[in-house]
Amino acid sequence: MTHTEQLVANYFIQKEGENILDSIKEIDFIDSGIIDSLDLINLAVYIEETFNLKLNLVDESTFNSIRQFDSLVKLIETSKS
Amino acid sequence: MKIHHLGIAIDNLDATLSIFKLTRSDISETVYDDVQKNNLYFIFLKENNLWLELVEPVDQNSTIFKFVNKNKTSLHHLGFHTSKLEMEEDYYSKIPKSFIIGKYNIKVNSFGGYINTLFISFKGLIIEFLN
Repeated sequence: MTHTEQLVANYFIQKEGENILDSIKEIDFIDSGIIDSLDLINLAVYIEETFNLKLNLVDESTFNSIRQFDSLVKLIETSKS
Repeated sequence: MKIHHLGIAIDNLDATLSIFKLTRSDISETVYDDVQKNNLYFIFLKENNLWLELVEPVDQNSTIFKFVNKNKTSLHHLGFHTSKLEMEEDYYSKIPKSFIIGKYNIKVNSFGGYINTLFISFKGLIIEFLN
């Protein structure tokens, strides 16, 4: 894992436990119920604190990127660069 | 800021009304929000000069479906009246740990007709601004 991937994974490990690593790249966090509307805000706060990046939660493409691990990592890395 | 209403997410209308010693006859208006997929029940509490907004998900596409599944009936948001919606949006989009989570336009006759709403999350609290 890259450093960004590890930091993002840490959020989900804290929330769901180590077992989530087995399927973290296949899960849709919204459809699976892992992330509900309040969790979405908690995740956004975590990303702001960890990466100094404020997500625009009303932007549809941002919302779609949050749904899956790889697209979320890509969103963070492209937004930071 | 003047508090305007309390938004309570509900999983059962009659059970929630009984908590507040209210009945269906106390409901001033019912609105179906086809964007957020919720039934909205508006009740004016005269003693408090305050509205209750009971928010009931209509199906699993509702914006609060998972919230209600997890929390059952519980406080969802605080509603504040503002005359400067854009200023609130600008302010809360810039401060740490605050996020804009939705903007809607909906007709609520009890609130004077069409209203603009802005939902923000600030340190875990959901606030709705409306004008």
